[in-house]
Amino acid sequence: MKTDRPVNLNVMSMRFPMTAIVSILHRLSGVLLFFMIPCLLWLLWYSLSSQANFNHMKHFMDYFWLRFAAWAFVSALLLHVVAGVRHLLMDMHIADSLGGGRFAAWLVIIVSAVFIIAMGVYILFGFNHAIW
Amino acid sequence: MSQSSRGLKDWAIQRVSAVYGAAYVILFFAYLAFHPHLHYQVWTGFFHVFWVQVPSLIFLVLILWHAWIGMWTVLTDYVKIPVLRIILQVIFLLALLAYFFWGVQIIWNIHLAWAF
Repeated sequence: MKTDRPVNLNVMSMRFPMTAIVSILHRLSGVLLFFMIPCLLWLLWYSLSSQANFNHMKHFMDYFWLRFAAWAFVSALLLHVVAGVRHLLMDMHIADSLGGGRFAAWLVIIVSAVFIIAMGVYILFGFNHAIW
Repeated sequence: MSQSSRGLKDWAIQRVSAVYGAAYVILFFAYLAFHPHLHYQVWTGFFHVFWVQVPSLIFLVLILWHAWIGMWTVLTDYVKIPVLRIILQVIFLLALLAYFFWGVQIIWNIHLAWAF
């Protein structure tokens, strides 16, 4: 084996196709959701445990970092579901060609981005007890 | 089921749980959207109904199974040291089992104490 061959391990110089980006985002969001399971179970328990805890929970959204966590969860869930729908469609041989796959990957990103930005505006800035 | 058909079984469960999970999540957020200014009595009453409890328990089982298949795949792809991979698999599996029993307790309204 030639040892003086050029080696390129600079990740920044690699250009990932959109299909690869959607694939890794699907995985990342899945792992994030896995680690959020105990938080969600705790929230469900807390909301059902007593009147006082239920009332206290309404004030969680007063903390910006908790709003951010809620937005991160909703974003991960949205992206995971939308990218998952693409998988299910490909199982049915819809958009499973190279061009179709690329188009669907772009569609996943655009649809998710619109929802994520909208939810960001709603949860981070717009949310208050008058709205919900 | 034999080892050779495990991949197919995982594939099928991943899809069934995905469709069920997506439907549950959409209906859940629809409920929240249609119930602004939710009261505690309404919220607990909702989770005391058979037709909410049983689909929620099914959701719990399917989503934890879905998570296990996903995490198994991720660990198999990225953790190349066999011992470390098995240790992480056991930890995640035990965590998911704990979440299952905890979730059953919450949904079935079984009293839960955090201290001795």
